[in-house]
Amino acid sequence: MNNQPNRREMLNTINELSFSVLDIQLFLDTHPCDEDALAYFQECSNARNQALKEYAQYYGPLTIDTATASCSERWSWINDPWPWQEGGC
Amino acid sequence: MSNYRSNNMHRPQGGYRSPMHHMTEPCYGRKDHLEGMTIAMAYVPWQSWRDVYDPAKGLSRGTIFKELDKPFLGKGAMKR
Repeated sequence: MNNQPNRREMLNTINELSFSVLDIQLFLDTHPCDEDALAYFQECSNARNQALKEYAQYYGPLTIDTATASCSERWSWINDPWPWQEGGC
Repeated sequence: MSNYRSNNMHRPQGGYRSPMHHMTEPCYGRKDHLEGMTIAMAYVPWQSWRDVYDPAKGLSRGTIFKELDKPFLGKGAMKR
């Protein structure tokens, strides 16, 4: 359990990456052909997906998209703490 | 900036406030950068992709674009 990455830090990284992805998305809405923006979107989006996947492996899925990335053999979606259950894990 | 404030009060009617003209004194003969454009219209210059914050700074500043990271204080464009 000691090698387990910090849950808060992981969530924070996901939040940061999600915000960047969203802001790039807004830029791309008006600049759909901007190659630098497209490349950075790709980079941040990939990093975000990776972070979500890693989070799911250690702490269960945050969204249904990573439900299969968690290591459990049984369906554990319903057992994970809800966002408002901070002390849940 | 107290100078600015007092100038402001004594300037002739018809003067307009714009951040661009803060330092131009007196009110006559100044350069209007938007001269020739239709009045009462708003213009939004086209944004370019540059000076992008990393994700951590972006989230804490509320934008990933340095150019948009402004100290909006709800006080108007006053030079402080």
